[in-house]
Amino acid sequence: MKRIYIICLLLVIIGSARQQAFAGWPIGKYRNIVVPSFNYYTSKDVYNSSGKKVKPAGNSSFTSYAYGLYVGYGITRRLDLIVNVLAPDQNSQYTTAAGTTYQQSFGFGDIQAGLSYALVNFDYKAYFSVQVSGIAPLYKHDDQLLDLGYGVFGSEVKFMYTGSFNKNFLKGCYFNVEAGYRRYFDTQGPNVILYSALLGVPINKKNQVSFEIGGQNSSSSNKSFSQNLSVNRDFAFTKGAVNVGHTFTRRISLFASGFYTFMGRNAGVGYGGALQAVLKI
Amino acid sequence: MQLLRGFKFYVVTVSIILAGCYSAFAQDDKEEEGEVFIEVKPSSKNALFKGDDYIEFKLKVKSTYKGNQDGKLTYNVLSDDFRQLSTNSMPVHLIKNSSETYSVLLPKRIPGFYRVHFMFNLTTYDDTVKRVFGIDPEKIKTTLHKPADFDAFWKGTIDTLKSIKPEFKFTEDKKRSTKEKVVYLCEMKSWEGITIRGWLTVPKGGKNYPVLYRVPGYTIDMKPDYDKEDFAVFTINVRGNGNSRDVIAPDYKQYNLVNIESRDKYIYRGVYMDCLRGVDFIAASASKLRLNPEKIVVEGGSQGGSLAVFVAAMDKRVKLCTFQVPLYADMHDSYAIGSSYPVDTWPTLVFHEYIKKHAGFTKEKLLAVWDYYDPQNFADKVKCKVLMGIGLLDEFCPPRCSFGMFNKFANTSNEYFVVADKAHEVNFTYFTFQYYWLKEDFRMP
Repeated sequence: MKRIYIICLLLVIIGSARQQAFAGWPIGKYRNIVVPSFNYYTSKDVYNSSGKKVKPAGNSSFTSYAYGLYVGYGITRRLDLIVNVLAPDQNSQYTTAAGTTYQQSFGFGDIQAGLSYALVNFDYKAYFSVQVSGIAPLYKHDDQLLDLGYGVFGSEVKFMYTGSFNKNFLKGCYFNVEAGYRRYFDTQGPNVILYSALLGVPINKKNQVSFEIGGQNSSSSNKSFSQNLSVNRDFAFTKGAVNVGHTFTRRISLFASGFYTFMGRNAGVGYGGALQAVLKI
Repeated sequence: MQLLRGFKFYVVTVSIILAGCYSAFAQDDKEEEGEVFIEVKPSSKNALFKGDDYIEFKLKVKSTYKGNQDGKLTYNVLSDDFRQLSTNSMPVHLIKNSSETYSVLLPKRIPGFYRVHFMFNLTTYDDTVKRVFGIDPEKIKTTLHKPADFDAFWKGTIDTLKSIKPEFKFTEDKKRSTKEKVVYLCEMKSWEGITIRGWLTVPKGGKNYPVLYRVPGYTIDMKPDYDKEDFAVFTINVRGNGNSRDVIAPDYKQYNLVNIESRDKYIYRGVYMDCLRGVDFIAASASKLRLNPEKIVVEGGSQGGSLAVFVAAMDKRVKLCTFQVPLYADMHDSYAIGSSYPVDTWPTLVFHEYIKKHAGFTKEKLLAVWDYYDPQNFADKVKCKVLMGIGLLDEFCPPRCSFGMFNKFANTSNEYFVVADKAHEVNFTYFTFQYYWLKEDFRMP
C-alpha cells in the first residue's frame, strides 16, 4: 500500500506550494521566493476501481511527514525558474495473504525543476502562463524499503490562468486555474492529467483564506488493481483544500492548509495538512 | 369686429403652438433615426510602428440608422504641427442597422508623430475621428537650445540654495494619520528664504522605507498620499501651490508668467530649487522618519514631469525617475507645435496672450528665458533609470517633444509606456506597471 499514496502525496504538495504562495503570478525580475514547508498526510481507507470507498484488508494504513522546499527566481518579468524538492518520512503497512508488512523510509523524493513563462499579461490584472518542468528521482530503488516515488524521470507541462477580480462582490479576491500533463518515462507511464481551481479571499490586509479543488487522473497500460496499491498506476482522485494565510511583513507570510480526498478511483482516502512559510527575498 | 379679431388671434396662437409641437415631434423623430458609432484600432496596440511596418488602422463602423448610409471615408495624414502630408478616401456603404470594418493602410513615414483624421461623410451623418501614431519614436532627435552659461547658471543657483538654512521641521498630523499610515506636515526654507511645505506619509511599523518623492503638476495642491503600500510618500507643494502660498500666490493662469521676462527672477527658478530642497529634507530626516535615503524615486506628472527630470538630473541621491506627460519638454518645438493648433491651446495660449499684451517681449525672448528651464536641457545629466508615460492625443505635451527629451537621457535601460487613446493623461495600467517597475529596481518583494 505504498506507491499510490506516495504519488498522491507528492502531487498534493507540489501542486499546492506555488498556489498558496502566489499562484501563477510571475515572481518578478530579480526577485526570489523561498517556501519551506511541512506536510502531513494519512490514509486508511481506499477508493476501489469503481470509485467506492472501501476498507482494505487488515489494518493497512499510510502516513507521511514531508519536508519541502520550493525556490523560485524571477529571471525576467515573465520568466521564472522554479525548483521543488521533498524529503518525505513515510510509514506504510499493508496486509496480504502472507501477512501484514510494515515499511518505513525517509529521504529525498523527486525533485522538480523547470521554467514558468507568462504568455499573456492582461494589463497586470491576470496572467496566462505555461510551466515546463522535469522530474528526477533523488533516491534509489530498494526492495526492502518503501519507495519514495516511481524512481523514474518525468516531465510536466502545465498551463495556469491567474488573476484578481476587480468588480462586484468578488472584488479583491484572486483566482488560479491550472491544467497540466505529466509523463513518467517508463513503459507503463503513467500519464497524468493534473487540474486545480483556487479562489482566494482576503479577510483583511494581513489575512486571507483560499479554497481549492484539484486532482489528477493517472492512466497507464497497466490497469490491474491490487489491494496492494503500490502496484497501481491507473488511478484518479479529487481533493478539496482550505488554506489560511497570514502576512507578517512584506517579506514573510505563513500559510496553513487542510485537505481531504473526497473522490477517487484506485486511490487512498487521504487527508492532512501543511504549514508553509513564504519568504520573499 | 372685436370678436372676429379675437377669433383670429386665437387661431394664430393655436396654429403657432401646434406648429411648435409638430416641429418638436419631427425633431425627436429625426433624433431617433439613428447614430453611427466608430471604433478605431491601430494594428499596433500603442499606435507605435517601426519604419518598415505597415501602418494600419481598422475602423469598425456601426450604423443604427433605419436607412442605408452611403458616402465616403476620407483619411488625411498630417504632421504633428498640422501640415497636410497625404489624403486618400474610400467608399462607405452601410446597410441599415449594420456594421462594417474598414481597413486603412497609410504610407510609411520617417521617425516622428503624425496625426490621422478619419472623416466620414455619409447620407445623414458626418463625423471626424482624430488619432495620432508614431514611427520609431526612439529615433526622434530634437535640437538642443542650451545657453553657453547654462551649467554655470544652475551651479550658482544651487550654491545659493545651499547657503540658505533649511530649518527643516516636521510634525505629525494626527487628524490625517490613519490606522496604517503616519502623516507628517513638513516645512522648510527654500530659495529666497521662502517657506514651503509638504506631506510625508510613512507606513506604521517597520523602517527603512523607500521614498516616493512626488513633485507637483501645474498649481496642483499636493495632499498626503496614502496609496502606495510599501513606500513612504513625500508630496511637496512648491511655492504658490497648496499650503506653500504664504508669499507667492499667483492664480492658475498667471503662474507660469510670474517674472517670465527675467531669467533670474522667473518663478521656475524658485520652483526648481524647492524641489531640490525636498530631497535635502528626505536625506536629512531619513533616520528620524524611518526612510531609506538610498532609495529615493522622484515622480511627477505634467509640470511635475519637468520637475522630476530636473531633480533626477541635479541630485544624484535620486535613484529612479518616473514621470508622465512631461510639460515644457523641448520648449522650442513645443511652442511651435502649440502655435500650429487651429484653436489656441494652453500652455502656449498664455504665452501668446502675454506677448500680445507686453510690447517688446517676443517669442524669441520668451524662449531665451526658457532655454534655462527647458527640461530637455537637463536630460543628459539624468543618469538613473527613467520610466516615461505619455498619451498620444496630448495637445499640451506633444509626443515628439516628450520623446525628444527621452532620447537624450543617459541611461540605456530606460522604458516608456504609450497610451494611444489618451490625451494629457495615462491609464490605470501604466500606473500598475509603474509600481512594479519601482519595486523591481529596488528589489522590493
